[in-house]
Amino acid sequence: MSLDIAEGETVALVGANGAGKTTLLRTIAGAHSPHAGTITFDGADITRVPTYKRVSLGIALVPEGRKLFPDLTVEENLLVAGKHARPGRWDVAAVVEAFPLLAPLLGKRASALSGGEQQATAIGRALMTNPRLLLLDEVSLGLAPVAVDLLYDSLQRLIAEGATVLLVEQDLTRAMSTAGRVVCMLEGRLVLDGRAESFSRDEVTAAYFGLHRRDGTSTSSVPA
Amino acid sequence: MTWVNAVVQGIMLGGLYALLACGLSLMFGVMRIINLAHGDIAVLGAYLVLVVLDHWHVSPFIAVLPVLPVMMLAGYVLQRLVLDRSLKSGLLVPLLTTFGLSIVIQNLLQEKFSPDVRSLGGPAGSIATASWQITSQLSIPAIGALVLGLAIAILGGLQFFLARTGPGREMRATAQDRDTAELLGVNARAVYGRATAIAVAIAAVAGLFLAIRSSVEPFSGPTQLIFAFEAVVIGGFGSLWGTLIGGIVLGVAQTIGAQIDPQYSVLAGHLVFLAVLASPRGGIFRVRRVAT
Repeated sequence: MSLDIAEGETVALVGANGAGKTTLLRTIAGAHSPHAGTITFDGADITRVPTYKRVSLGIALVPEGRKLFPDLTVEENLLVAGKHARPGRWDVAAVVEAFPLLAPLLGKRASALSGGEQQATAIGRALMTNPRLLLLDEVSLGLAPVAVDLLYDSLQRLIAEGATVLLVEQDLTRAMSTAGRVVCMLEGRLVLDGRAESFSRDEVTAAYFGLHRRDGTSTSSVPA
Repeated sequence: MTWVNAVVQGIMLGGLYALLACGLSLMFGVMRIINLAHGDIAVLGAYLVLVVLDHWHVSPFIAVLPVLPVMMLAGYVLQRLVLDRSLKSGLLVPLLTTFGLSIVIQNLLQEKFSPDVRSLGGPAGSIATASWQITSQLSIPAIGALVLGLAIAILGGLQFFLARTGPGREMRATAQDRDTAELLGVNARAVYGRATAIAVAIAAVAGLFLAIRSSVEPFSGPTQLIFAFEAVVIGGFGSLWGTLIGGIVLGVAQTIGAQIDPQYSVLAGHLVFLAVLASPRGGIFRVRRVAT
């Protein structure tokens, strides 16, 4: 597969379980090594760059399941990420401004947070690195609808500010309304790629489950 | 009053065990490595102090100063070149690696220094034998009080480092989830190297006081490892303050056992260790990774 993302673009990556979405995100972030191919960031080949060095280049991943440090407080979780941050506007105060629900929770251990609070902390933690590319893996998974709404309100503000986001989301409607571009993966391959408004929900669903292969629907593509 | 004296002596002895166990606890807490060479590293530290002492004829407390950076560097290199590679093969391989390292250190020490027993008690001067006489049956040994104070200071310092500093937070984060820490820009291998460097340096300090309080020979490391291991388990693996409490409980158990009959000294400590191990809690403090 080949995927290009332009600066300032918001891309929703959708696909059924096992399609390879998380693997793709983790490979971009450096947590997995690709068996073949290259990953290029800002014109440079970063395929062999260690995970921790990619953060200083500007790549940050919010992993599936949040993966907070449970015995660290919310503030400590943020500060760990901030220690190796690129220069930029994000610090603890800016994160609290973006996610006001974190303000009274800074001294609380991450293990004591609700799902929505944990997800806000996880996103804030990634933002603390001042990323140029933010990879979000299943941010709404397991959250109450109210928490998801709050989270996406904050995300929309980030996107409006020009953040570059690659978003993995199971909720098709939300993915298509949040992102300017939708990419669908099926069994490790790209089967649909184009502007979100150019597809109907049914077309994306068909690609999602591989139905387009049976009915002969072709894959659409637009340049990034 | 004899029993009170036994408890006081046990608390002092516990300070040495806590000092010995501190590095073991740190390495387990951060990397999940049980360093079977920890006792031998402590003994190696004592021998290095002896080497400095033989050349420059200074107090052991001065002689240990150049030894500490050497041991820190050795610890860092050990982690980066040996233990990191072992960790990639699972948790059992570092156990075997450190077991092998233990044998290597013992035999190198025997080759270089002969099997003779060595002590730093004499060169340390009057502090090795001085004590404060409280009553006719109760006295506080100066070296015991010094070791206990140092153990509290080192554990407190380590606690402060872990809880209040950026590198300490990184160490705790890496201990809890290495992969995620790397995704946030933390170089986990360097963090592990720093943890081992600290652990090895503290072990060298423990070796110094072990050789001042009693004596060392090339093969005395495994015995010290057992005491350190027991202190860590009694206190709760990965808990720093638990390590201090565990060391004191072990020390008091040994001195009370010795009060009953000198041959029960070590046995009493082992029995307390087994009782804690068999308890549902598994340690005085909750078992966790690098507690603060």
